[in-house]
Amino acid sequence: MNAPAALYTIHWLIRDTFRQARASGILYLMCGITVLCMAVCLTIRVKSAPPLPLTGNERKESLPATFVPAASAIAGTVPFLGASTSQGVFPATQVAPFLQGWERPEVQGAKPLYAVEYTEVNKILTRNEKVDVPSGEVQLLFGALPSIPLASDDTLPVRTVQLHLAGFVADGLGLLLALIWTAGFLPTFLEPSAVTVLLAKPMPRWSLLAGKVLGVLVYFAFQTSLFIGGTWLALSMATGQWDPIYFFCIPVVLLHFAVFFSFSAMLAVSTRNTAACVIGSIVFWMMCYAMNYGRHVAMVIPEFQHMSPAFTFILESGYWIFPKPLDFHLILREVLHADTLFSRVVDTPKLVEMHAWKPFLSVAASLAAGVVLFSVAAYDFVTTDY
Amino acid sequence: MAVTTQSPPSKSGMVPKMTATVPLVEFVNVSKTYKEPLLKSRTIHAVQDVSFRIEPGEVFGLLGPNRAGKTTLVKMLLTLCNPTSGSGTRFGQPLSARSTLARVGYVHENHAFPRYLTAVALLEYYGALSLVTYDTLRERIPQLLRRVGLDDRSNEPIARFSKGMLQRLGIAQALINEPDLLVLDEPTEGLDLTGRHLLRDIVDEVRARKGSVLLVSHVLTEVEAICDRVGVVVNSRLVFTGSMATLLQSSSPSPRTLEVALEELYRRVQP
Repeated sequence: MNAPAALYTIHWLIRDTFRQARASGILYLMCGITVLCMAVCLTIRVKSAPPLPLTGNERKESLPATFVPAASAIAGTVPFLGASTSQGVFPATQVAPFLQGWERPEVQGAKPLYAVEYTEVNKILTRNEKVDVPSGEVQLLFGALPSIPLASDDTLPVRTVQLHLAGFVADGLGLLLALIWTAGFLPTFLEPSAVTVLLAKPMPRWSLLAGKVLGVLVYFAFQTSLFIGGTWLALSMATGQWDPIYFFCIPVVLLHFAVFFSFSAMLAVSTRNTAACVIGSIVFWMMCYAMNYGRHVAMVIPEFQHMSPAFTFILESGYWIFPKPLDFHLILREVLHADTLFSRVVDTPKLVEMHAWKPFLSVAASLAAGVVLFSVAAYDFVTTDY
Repeated sequence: MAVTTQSPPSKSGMVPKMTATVPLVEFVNVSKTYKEPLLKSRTIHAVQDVSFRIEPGEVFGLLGPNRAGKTTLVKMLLTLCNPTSGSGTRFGQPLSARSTLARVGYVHENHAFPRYLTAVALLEYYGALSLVTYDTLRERIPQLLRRVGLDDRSNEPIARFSKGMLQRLGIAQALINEPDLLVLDEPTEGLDLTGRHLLRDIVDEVRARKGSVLLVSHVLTEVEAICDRVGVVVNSRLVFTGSMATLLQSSSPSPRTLEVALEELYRRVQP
């Protein structure tokens, strides 16, 4: 069979996957989530403050007395964004190490896009320090919710919303839900009474599986692009910030999904059971996340240097062999400069400094794991007697 | 449809003309064994040492009790599973040559078609996977739906179809590539009288254009009415191959039915 015939087959299988997604309601549900998020984005209004000074203390002043009651009304729940003091800029939470990366030369020239909690503000007041006063505000739902004071230009709130959308809605919740929803596609397709007629067709077996897997990936890419593109458009229209860096989230989220869907495909071929695929995929993702997180945390703690070589070997092997969901998330945060907005999940600068985290190598290793998993699935599918 | 093969060049170096007619299907000493899923040490002989051929223009019936090995033979013919030993050809090519499947139509006994498709979409999908071009499909699908009596339901999701309608649709999908070899595995399941007549007409058409049909059925009247030759599989072995007339031959003066003939055959070969 020649390549055009294989492509023709794959094209039809992709088309079939979209029909399956439409019939199962997943298409409409995911589009609905996208529309909902777009609607929320459209309600965001930013009254920006003047840009923060890059250096020096020229805009530092004391907090006005009226600020304290206003702050205490929503204290502890909503940070105000972009505050900086004469000592520097505060991170979002007290858990986060103070001013990580602030000393890095590449950050020094950048706009300080840090947030600080109101509890921190009270400390500042106690110490009678001077801070950048929040003179702008961010409004959600056209101001129906309490507004968030803002002490920076309007890039910060846009990035904050983008991080929530890409990092938590698309790459977190959306990815896991997509794994669950699409887990049933392959087992249904591979039911003996359904697949036997297809296997009696002339195209090679591998192209049948590849076409169906590609169909799911193309479908997910479509939904992700729709979500990222739609929310970017809505957010940009609402705030006037047309920052295209947000689109880089699409390949990151897609690669993340592809790696874990290949595991789902392997389970589908070997078990032909939807429940096994759903539970197996989620458990595998969680296991990989735990491995990924554990390894990074272990690397940065001093005690790690004293751990046995066998334990270190197991941890490192597990990290490099299995897919790395946390690393995809960290890359997203890097792309959106989220470490300047929120406390870090792990100390990435330290990992980089120790040469223990190389984003490109991490993605390549995850993809290699995905290719191996898919190859196992394809081999199983091609050699199975039906 | 006659298939010709090219003989090797003669000693004089002249390439002979393509004249030798070969069967559409040929199995030679084919066996298939499975390992018991849990106890891998135990072997199940699904088919043992089976040889038969289906000539162009012939309707061949496969008969036998349940679990005799008929479906395994069909599966090996369609490359759904591979023989453990022996060899087979389809259109003169080894069974592993999947390209020849483009000339095969298959009606499965229990279709599980994607229920979200309409009749038209399903035929487009299965036709495309048979490597039929889209232009041909657009032309052929309305004709086929009319032929199987589903033209008035062509854009309805097949989830609403009855078993008989699904079986008709299964027949339509098997004909979408105008096959030279039609494999029918219990095709009359769920079909009404009109549907059975339709099936007979289709078989006659395939035969008329020198195509072949392999029919697996427990409906003996169908087999008797349609088949030119039959093979009887018992206990994973092919115990009889021959014309219907030979099978029905009896030493007694009164003619016997196919049912009686098969019962006698089973008694004779079963331990």
